[in-house]
Amino acid sequence: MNAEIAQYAAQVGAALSDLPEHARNDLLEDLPAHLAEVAAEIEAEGGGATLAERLGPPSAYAAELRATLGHPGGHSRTAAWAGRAVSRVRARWDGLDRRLGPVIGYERLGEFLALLRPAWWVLRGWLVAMLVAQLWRDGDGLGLLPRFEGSTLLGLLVLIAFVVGSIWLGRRTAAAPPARRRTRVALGAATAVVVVFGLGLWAAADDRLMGSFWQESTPTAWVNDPYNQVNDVFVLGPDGQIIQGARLVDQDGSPVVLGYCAQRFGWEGPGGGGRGWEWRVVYPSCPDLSAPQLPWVAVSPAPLPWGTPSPSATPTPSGSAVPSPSVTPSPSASTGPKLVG
Amino acid sequence: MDTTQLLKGVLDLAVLAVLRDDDGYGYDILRRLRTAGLTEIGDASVYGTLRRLFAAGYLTTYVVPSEEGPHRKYYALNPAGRTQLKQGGDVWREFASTMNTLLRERA
Repeated sequence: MNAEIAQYAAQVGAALSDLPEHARNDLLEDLPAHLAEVAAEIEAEGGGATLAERLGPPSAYAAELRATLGHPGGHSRTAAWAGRAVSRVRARWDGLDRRLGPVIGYERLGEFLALLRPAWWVLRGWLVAMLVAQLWRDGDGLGLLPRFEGSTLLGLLVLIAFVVGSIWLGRRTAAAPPARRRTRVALGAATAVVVVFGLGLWAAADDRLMGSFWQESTPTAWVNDPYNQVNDVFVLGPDGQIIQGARLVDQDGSPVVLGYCAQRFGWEGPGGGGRGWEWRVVYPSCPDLSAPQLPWVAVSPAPLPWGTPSPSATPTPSGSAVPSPSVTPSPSASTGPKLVG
Repeated sequence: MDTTQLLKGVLDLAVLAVLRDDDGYGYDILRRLRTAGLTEIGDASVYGTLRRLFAAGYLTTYVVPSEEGPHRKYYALNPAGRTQLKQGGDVWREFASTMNTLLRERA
């Protein structure tokens, strides 16, 4: 009810926004208290009615006040047009409010949104903390916690402070919207900045979770690569036997680089001298990968020489055959330039 | 003729009149006016009139705490308000009798 009173009073105030500030403040000073009396009467009579149902729309209330106090209608043409536009938008929202509410089991959508308000306060506090951390930061990446000077603890404390502050501000403005127009405008502008920042943060986080940074940093372009499912390539002779140490080349004699292991890897010369990138292009290229089972090959392939000899002659792909990131050749793993081909 | 048009001129007097014997808070005053027959009167008119009469120095206010519900702001006539009520009443009676005479002759 208090929120309804504050909202109604704020809307009446907005409809009187063309009056000189002191006259308006004079007029509105007692309005919330008065509306609270009216609300109490509604309650005493059994409740159920909203202020707007009892008193008419805030714009009508404002017009009546204006007439009673002998303030001229005083709308400039622009203000009148803006007023009509605002009430049109309000009427449309009112319709949506009533129509969409029942869809989610509420009388009005606004009722549900009002319940979400504290959640917004918390979110707002977090966003402001993140924004401050971003403005503060010195080259740190973007995380989900604000960090100051790389300190998570300090970040947490700041986060808590901003969230508590936001809740305090939310409760205050919900109970009584700031009377001064300038304060309201400033609050609105700050909210807009926070919302825009929040959307940016959300987009950036989404981008990262989708792994676009990974795509940019891998040598083989994974995007649109029809071979990105290929982990290794086995070249078989006509007898169904795997040809060891096979190489694939294209029409120009350049190596065809396929598979997870057949990748460019960095090497570093002894003592840090000489760095470079090489292609590992001998197939099969993953040293610890078992050969695939080939049901269409009449002759059962011989086990790979590097594979663990199994009791049966047929090698089976085992769970350990799946390559894990740890098998990726890394610069530190290779001690020197390993040239192949 | 619309009653609301007539009411505009005498709303001050009407509000002063219902406060003559008993102090009252906003909604209570509205109810008294409606009970007295001014059924078309709006809440905003009463609230605005009370604000105006208070600003003009005809009313004093005091707050009565309530155990349940909000505190209520009571309005009371002060001496200036009583004088205003008396003078306004005289003007109205004279005006009304003139109008009555006028209407009787025409009818």
